[in-house]
Amino acid sequence: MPVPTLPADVTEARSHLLQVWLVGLILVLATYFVADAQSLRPGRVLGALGIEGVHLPFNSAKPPETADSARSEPGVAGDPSRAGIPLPGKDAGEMSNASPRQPVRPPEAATESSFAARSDQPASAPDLPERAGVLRPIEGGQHLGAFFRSLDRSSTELTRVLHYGDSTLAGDGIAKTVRSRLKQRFGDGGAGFFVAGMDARWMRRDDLRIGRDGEWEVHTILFGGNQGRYGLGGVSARPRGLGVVHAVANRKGGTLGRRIEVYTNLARSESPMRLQINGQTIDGMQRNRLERFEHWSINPDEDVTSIKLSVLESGLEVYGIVSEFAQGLTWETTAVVGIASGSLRQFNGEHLAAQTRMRDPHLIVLMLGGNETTHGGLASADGRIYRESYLNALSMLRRGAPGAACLVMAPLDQAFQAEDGRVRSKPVMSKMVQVQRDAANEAGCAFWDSWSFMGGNGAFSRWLAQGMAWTDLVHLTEKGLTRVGDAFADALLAEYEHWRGVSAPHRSGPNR
Amino acid sequence: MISSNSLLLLPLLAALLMSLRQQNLRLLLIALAGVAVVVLEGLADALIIAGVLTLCLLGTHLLVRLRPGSRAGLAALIVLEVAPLIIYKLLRSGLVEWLASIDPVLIVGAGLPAETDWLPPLGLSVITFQAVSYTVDRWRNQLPAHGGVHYLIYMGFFPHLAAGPILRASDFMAQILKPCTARAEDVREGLWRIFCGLTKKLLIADVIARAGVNPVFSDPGAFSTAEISIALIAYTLQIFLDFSGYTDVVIGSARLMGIRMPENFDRPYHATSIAEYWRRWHMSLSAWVSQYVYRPLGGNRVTAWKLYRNVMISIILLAVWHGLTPNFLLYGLLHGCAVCLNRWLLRSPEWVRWTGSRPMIASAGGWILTFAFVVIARILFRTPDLASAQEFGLYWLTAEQAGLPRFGLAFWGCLLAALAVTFAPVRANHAIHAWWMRGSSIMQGTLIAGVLITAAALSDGQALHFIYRQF
Repeated sequence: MPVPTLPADVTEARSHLLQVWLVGLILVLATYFVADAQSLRPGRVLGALGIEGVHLPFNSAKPPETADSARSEPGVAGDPSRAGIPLPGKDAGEMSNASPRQPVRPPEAATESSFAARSDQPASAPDLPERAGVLRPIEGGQHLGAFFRSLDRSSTELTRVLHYGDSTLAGDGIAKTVRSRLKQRFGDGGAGFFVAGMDARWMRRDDLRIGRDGEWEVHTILFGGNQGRYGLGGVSARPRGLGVVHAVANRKGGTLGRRIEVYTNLARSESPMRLQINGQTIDGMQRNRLERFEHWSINPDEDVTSIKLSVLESGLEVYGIVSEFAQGLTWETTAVVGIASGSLRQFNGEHLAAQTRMRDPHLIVLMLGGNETTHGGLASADGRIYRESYLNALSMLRRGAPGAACLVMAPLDQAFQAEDGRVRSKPVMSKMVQVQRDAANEAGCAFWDSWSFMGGNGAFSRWLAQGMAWTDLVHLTEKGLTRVGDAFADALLAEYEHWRGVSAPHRSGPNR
Repeated sequence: MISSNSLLLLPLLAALLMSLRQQNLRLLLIALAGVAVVVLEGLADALIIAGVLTLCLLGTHLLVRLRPGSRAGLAALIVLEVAPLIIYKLLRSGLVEWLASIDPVLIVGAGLPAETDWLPPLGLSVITFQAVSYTVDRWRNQLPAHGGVHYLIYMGFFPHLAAGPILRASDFMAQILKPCTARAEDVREGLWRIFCGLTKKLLIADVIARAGVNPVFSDPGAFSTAEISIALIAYTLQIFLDFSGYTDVVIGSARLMGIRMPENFDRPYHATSIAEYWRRWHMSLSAWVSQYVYRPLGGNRVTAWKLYRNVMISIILLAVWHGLTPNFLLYGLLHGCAVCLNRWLLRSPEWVRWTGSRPMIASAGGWILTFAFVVIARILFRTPDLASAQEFGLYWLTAEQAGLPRFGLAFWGCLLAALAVTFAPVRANHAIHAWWMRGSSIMQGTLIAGVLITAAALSDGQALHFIYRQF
């Protein structure tokens, strides 16, 4: 068919349009090539690349409030919507063609570390572990006495657990499983502490639907600032102008607790905020003005299913909200995407300790390492500098609760795509796990080796092949995280039963 | 579901299609693009849309062939065409929850999820209105039969699927049947409308919503009367800028392909009466209701009481299209009464004489009363139920909070911009428009990209949906 000749006017029109789009496209694309321009990328407002309603994994990129790429993993996308998809049924050999992105390359050659020999799990574990029985017991379970004693009294008292971590934890995949399993056994203590005012996509809670209205200025321990005042969750949020936070139980008929607490900075006015519970405005919150922050509390007459907190005072910082019952167990996720052990130095130690003291946890769990495979402290033969960094992190978290039990969870396996196209575990993993184990031992903390549970060296490719890991080669899928959470819960419960068996005389002793 | 904001990328698709020289190929791809946009929303939704389209095409064909002039046949077909939309509106208004409260077993047995928001499939509203328009025009012999591709383009013209403007088949078909080629003026005009639309939606409406409107409507009791008043005005501006911004992008995208679409707004907040407001707001829907409801009922050429009846039916229909809820019913009743009052006053010679002798006072007073009425009625539009509307109203009038409004700088800046865009004099608009039309491609490309980048910088990372997408 002959192609008609176009009038000059039409040709000019097309040329003009092409030029406009080209100029626009170049400028827009520039924001995707400049690492520090993440907050300028139009995809944030267009939602064009994001398919809603699909659970996407968290990665070690920055939250949207600020832009700083210095500490993000190379090759891991900053936009959650760019996260990869699992490739079930593919074995590691096929990965070179199937993987849609350039995976992370390790800084060192893919050779077996001397630390690998010290791992309990053989490096070539052929099958994934099954849930039946305890496949990876807790090490140093004697350090969990304070936690177990509290669990023993959970029918009349509340047991509180603070679980710190990075993106692996921020999606709540592991914590929700442990929370659910332990609550089944020891009773539902409510939602516990949760961060308020942050974009909830960056710190999820399976049992809560948290939202916010208004513009919020958010500071996290990832980027520093705010003079180290972040509160228990490592996040402080201050509305620019007007701000409302709301939280509701995520399941029909679910309740959040019967006691509400709010952690804020020192307020200037008498009524810096307005609290609504189950749609009713609540007056008469008890105000506890401490040296470094304020603690507000109230015991409503009914079970709480929804909370709405309106910040009335300009500049008021909200650190978090607590909703709990008087007994049972709370498992509180306090994770910040992208952090490493060094990030905890951003905390003002006194400020955190004061809030931890107020929260009075019975167990503090720390799970870091997802953003530390290139940690300079791991370069030395003994990993001494990394161990010190990790010990400092533990010390920072425990400062306000010296009597609380402590547990370190090893990082999950991470991989890279080797030159032959195969997916291999990062060789540094075994060393990092061992250093964390040593640090836990030195700090008097129990240790659970999640890395070895996964299968140790080479595990990631097997989990990837079974649809339990994402193709970013860093994160596990929901299925994988649930598997880890279940195994951890199994280990904790088994250790508790063991403690009950051998420590019967202590069970009536003091709580701490 | 795709974010409705990603529909702002439709101009890119329009530009690609514009570059095709073959008219038939271009028309085919325009039709397929509409199909793709609907299918991307979800296969189940696409099947519903396909059902309505097939019913309309075959039903109309059979009606015209077998029972020409049959009013019963026409009525039956229209009922079938609007049924899916009405069902979605009922479901969205809480029918499932209501039934579940009466008999949970019934809901479980029917396999209906109790906690779904029942958002209608993308394009269902627009396609339903156009289906009725197509059927009635064919039945009236005002429209000849068209081929499947032309029918598909008319029904599923991709830029306008989310929220119109609603097209009349006779106007639109005439354009696509002749070679439609965009000329230089069309491209510059199209880009201008796209730039305006992106600015209104992303730079102004979304910021106002995030920084002021949403917090106040979320918990009105926490704010002062002044803050609630400002937020209410801000919401009134936001909904206009959101909807007209989307419409600008749609009209601009179509213009890039050489197709002129009807305008949907004519500076509605300049209206000096409620009747005038409805002639300026969502004009394509108002025209549709006028054409297919108001006039068949007798229009103006009836007795006074029948006129008021016709007005009330039309306005209430316009209102409950947004949702079959008491809020929208009351919203329609209030607006209907206001239009009737307006008509009644115009029938009074004394009133006409009085306003005619004091045009300035009448005009200013009319504008103040109209704008205030529109703003206050928006409470019913924004709140989910009557109890919330009542609560909002009470807080507004009896707020305990006092002091200066505590909105942030971004809110104030965007509110001022919203006022400027909404109430700018025609002469100023023309001057800026003329400047754009003379501008170079580099300037235009930079400004369009600048809007997107600035909007991202002002955003908290969450795309706010088009308000009218949900209807």
